[in-house]
Amino acid sequence: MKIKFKLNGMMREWETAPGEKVLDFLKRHSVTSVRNGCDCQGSCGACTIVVNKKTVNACLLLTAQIDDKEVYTVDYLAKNRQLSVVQQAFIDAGVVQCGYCSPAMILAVTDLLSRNPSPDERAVKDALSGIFCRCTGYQQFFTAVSLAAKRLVTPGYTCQTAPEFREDLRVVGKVEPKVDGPRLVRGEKAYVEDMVESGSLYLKMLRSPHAHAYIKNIDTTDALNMPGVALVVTHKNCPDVYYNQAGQGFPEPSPYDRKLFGEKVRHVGDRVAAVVAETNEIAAEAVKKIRVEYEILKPVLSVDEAAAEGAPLVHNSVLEYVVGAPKDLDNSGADPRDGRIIYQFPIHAHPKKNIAASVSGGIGAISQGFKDADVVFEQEYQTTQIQCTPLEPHVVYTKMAGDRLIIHASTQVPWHLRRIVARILGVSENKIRVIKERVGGGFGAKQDIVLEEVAAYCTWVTGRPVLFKFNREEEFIASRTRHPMKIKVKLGAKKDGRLTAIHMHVRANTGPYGAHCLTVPMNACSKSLPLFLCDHVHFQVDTYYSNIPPCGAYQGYGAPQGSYALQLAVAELADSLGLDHLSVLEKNRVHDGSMLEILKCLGEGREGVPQKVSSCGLGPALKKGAQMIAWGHKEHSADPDIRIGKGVTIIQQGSGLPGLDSANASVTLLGDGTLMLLSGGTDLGTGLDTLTTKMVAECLCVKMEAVSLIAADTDVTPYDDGAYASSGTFFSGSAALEAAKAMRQKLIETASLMLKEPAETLSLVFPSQVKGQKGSVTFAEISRFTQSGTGSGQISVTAGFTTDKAAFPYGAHFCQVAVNTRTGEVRIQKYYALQDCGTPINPELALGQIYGGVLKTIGHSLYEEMILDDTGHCINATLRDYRVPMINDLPADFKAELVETNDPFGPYGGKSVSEISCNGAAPVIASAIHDAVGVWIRSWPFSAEKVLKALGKIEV
Amino acid sequence: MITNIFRPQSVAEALGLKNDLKGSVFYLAGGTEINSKDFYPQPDQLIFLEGLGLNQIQQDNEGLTIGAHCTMQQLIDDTKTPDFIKQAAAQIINRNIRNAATLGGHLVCNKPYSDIIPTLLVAGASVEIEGPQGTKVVLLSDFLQAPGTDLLVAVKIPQVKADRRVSCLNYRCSANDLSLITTAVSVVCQDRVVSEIMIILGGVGLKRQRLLAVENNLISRNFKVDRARVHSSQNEGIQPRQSQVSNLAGRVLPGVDELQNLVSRAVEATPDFRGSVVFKKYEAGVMVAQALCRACEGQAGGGS
Ligand SMILES: Cc1cc2nc3c(=O)[nH]c(=O)nc-3n(C[C@H](O)[C@H](O)[C@H](O)COP(=O)(O)OP(=O)(O)OC[C@H]3O[C@@H](n4cnc5c(N)ncnc54)[C@H](O)[C@@H]3O)c2cc1C
Ligand code: FES
Ligand code: FES
Repeated sequence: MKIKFKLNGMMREWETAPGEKVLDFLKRHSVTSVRNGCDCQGSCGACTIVVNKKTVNACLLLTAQIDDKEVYTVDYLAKNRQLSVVQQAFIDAGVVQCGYCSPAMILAVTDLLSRNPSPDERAVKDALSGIFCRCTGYQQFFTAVSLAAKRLVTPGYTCQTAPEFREDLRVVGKVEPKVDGPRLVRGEKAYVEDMVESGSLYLKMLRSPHAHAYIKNIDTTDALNMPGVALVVTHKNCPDVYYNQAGQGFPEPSPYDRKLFGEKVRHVGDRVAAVVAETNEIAAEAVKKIRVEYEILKPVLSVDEAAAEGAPLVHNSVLEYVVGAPKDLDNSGADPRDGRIIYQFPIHAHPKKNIAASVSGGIGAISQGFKDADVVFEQEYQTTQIQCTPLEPHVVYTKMAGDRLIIHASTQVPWHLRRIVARILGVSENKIRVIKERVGGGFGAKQDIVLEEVAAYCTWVTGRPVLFKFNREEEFIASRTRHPMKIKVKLGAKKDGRLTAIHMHVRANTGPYGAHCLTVPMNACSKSLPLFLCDHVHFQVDTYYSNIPPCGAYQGYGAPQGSYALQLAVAELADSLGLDHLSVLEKNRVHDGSMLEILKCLGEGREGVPQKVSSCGLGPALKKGAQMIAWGHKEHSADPDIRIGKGVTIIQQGSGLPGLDSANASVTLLGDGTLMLLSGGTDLGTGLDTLTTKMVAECLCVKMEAVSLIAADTDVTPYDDGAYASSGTFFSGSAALEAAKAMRQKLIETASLMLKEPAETLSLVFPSQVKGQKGSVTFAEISRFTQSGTGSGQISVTAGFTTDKAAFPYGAHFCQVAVNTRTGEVRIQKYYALQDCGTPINPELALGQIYGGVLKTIGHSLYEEMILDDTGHCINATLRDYRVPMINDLPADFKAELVETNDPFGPYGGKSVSEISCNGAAPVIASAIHDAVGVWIRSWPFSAEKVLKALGKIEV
Repeated sequence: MITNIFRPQSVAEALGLKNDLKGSVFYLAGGTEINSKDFYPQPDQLIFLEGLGLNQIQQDNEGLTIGAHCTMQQLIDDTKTPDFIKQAAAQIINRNIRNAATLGGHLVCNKPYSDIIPTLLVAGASVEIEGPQGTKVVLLSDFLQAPGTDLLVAVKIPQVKADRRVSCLNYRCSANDLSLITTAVSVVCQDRVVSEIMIILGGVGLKRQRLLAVENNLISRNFKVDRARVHSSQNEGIQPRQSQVSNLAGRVLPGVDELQNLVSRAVEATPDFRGSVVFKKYEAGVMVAQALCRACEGQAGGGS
């Protein structure tokens, strides 16, 4: 059938099938700005379009419903590439991070302002109520809307959308347009799914319905016989190569405990077979035709079950070590169907006890520390499994170019991805190119190679392009999640609150495979213990295999769990001593210049090194936060059911992994004096590309527009470990800065020749000039000089950055909650996140990182949680049932504040900002709940049901 | 697979199509349910109702007539809609859904977590339906027993008695979740003596419940309404729905705690990942008690 409608102002008469969804129809007609984040369930709003002046979800509309109507998508708004007022306001306010939600948000705001030219906060919330954004924490949308509203009345209106820093610098510390912003707000093709060419194959995965089983038989004949099916891959015909999906530097501290497909399935959703076919529909049909016979085994779902005597073994495998095999290695009793585990080096695993990895260590003498104590406090805390829920699910597009494999990836680790795929395919790395496209949110889940290798293998075998995109359920059951943990904390202290001993015992559940099984749980200690200056500290980490959906990296990387346990324990200790929590924190906390001895035993799979704190903004953060929240002043409600309480917590993270991470960048001078920056840094929407561009623009005294960037393409740009462990600013930023410094050196050397002045008398001046005592030359002149037939050639430099120095970001979070003692509901009235990220290089984007990290973790503190039944099925694997935070979940008063320090090792004094933001919510909310109603909630989320039970209102 | 979509321009034409077409034939309104892959049974032919002109809201002496094709957002935006219905419609999850979701489609789906049906029921709504047997007006409560396959044309809300007060409340764990509890209460007071109560509760169980036992218990106590204190907690970020459980100070009416217990005992709850039976029954007690307080304290002749 045909429908006639107006699309973005143009009459269209297009053929459509009667049951076609508007979302698919628009995509078929190359309108890619309309996205799908929830498998068309109506719960993400990424597919928002405007139909006859109403915002609706295109995934729930049939084409017949837009017949004769006027339809707008974001593509309409930018006229001749000029951004609309709303699009520009989005960039200026810093609300474009990954940008996957931006087209929907922009349409909703445009519609709002057409109905209501000066909307209040409630109206903004109403307009955006149906659109999910995982990155931004929503708060800055209020600024964006108010900016747009004012500009519609007064064109050219400007205001300060974020505080600025470092008067001595031009672009660093200033609000500057995000370099990828315009492309994303225009809704241009930018993500992996936009790269798909016609004639591609589609991959669908048959996944295990059982949490733990052997595949006795698998028959793919009927699937293979279906017209349109190109390939079916199972454990019978996949490469016999073991690997780990964790995107970590080689040699990884994670066991190689899986192949592409195994004979044993270890979680509901584990891979059984991949089908590639001419269409999605054929692939889905073919998946249904694969017949599998399972030998079902008892699943292990918790650390207690895994540790129990006689527990079923998740990996009854043959163990091998590349180096350091234990002398008593005993592989008797291994079941060949379980396959092998290869360790690059020992990580103290004991798969026969379901232990995937373990580590212990400490400083001082812990027993002495407890002897010295006046009081000893001990408690256990528990955390549940949390999913990263990037709005763009995992997706990859692979294709051949001659004899080389091209991988268009939505990844945090292009180079690790290349290395892992090369290993599986048995080819050398030069045969593979990884192009990181814009990433629609990563948050750790995209640090791992959870689908790329399968698509790559299928393309390698068939020679055909393959698209593989997870649906939302797969995102829950087959990507990455936060490890559930049980953490025992034992504290010794003097009566005045000074800590004499800290012991932490972390028992973590890594799920079926050991991606990050050592390092995430270790971070529960390494990112929480160094906050306290205590002479006697000991930790023990045991990570267990189980049959829950896979765990791995998630923003914060174990620190949110560790921080919850340790910070809450200190709060409980302070309370039990009758001391003010804030003063106990002040008494024990780390300072500028403190030596962090504990870090010598917290290296990630290798020897650690003690570090000196090079900058620490905790003092001012605590001071200002206490003022903002009126610490010490008890608030009362007029409602007898409402009790109000306040909480405080201190947090830290790292800035990459000194001694392990490395980053590189190169800068080339172009003919007209502008610059091309090639950065290995992987921007996930965080603003890293803007940051590296600023590094070059600042250092070389040029306008930001004079620097163009290509990043994270393994063929084009130099190596970078990737975006994880909060390394972006410190490592990728420093690499760009080092490259800029090398270019500055070359520019001065050449200018010295041209001006005939010694280099020492020359300096760079803005814009794009080298000035001496006698005269000056422009970069364009330098370029012509070197590029001419008599010159020395185009100036191009490459620099790398490695370091053994650490730069720790710090922060203090304060909150005020109102607990309704009748309903059990916890409402956050005030949440203030004060964070020291050194020099905030991109202040508006740094604020967005904080708001986003905090709201995500308010989510897991209050209502987010993956719930498994006793057979290991996740029963809430949708955005709605899992309950991702929406704009209407915002704290009533939500403020992120940047506390400036100038780190001596960070580029222009910068440190990381994003991951740390996830570490405060759980302990600060739990402390505030206690302050309000006198109960400690020692497991997250703090649901109304748990609060009511703790209050004795309902039976336990 | 959908093979055909028809766009009738009149009720008669729509009925004719429904009668003549074979297979899995459904009406299509906003499409938020029927266009979902989870809708069962999947339709193979659809009759799109937009051309029927059923999107009017009319007020006359009898009451309000809402065309079945009116969307939830339209209900909120139309000045003729009484406040208590606006409030109920505004409880529905978000603007995008409210812009598409029609009242007719909503009633036919009859989801237990509906945020508007409890209010329509306590307001005594009826529905006008067209089928092979002609036009029928039936009470909404009867219609919901078995929505059937007839065409729902309009929803009629009788003129609210001057002394009737209606209040609705919902509770969801987070903004993107379904209502765990959704309730509406109406009370009729003459000379401040409560002569009628109706309590409808949804969300907690597989089916919506009318709490008749609670209603009878309360009526038998022959209580009067005194204006009770209402705490405004907006400055604490607590939405009024969560905070206004207060002492009713009614003469014979039980205190809030007793009222809560009365309701909790009467409620049938089904456990799921949103909560245990104990929790749901308890929370239902809180919500209903709160809604009742608000209804008693509210403006007569409409919502609170
Ligand atoms: C993501 C999402 C979130 C939601 N959240 C909430 C919420 O928070 N609170 C809440 O109360 N509800 C909620 N709903 C339910 C929503 O209100 C209903 O889906 C909507 O009202 C259905 O109306 P529709 O016009 O889209 O129906 P359609 O999908 O078009 O039709 C639904 C059914 O009704 C039939 N039908 C439609 N119109 C007529 C008619 N006039 N006569 C006879 N049969 C008819 C159709 O044949 C079909 O069987 C939600 C729905 C979604 C998808
Ligand atoms: S894709 Fe339409 S709402 Fe999620
Ligand atoms: S910017 Fe909103 S989802 Fe990433």
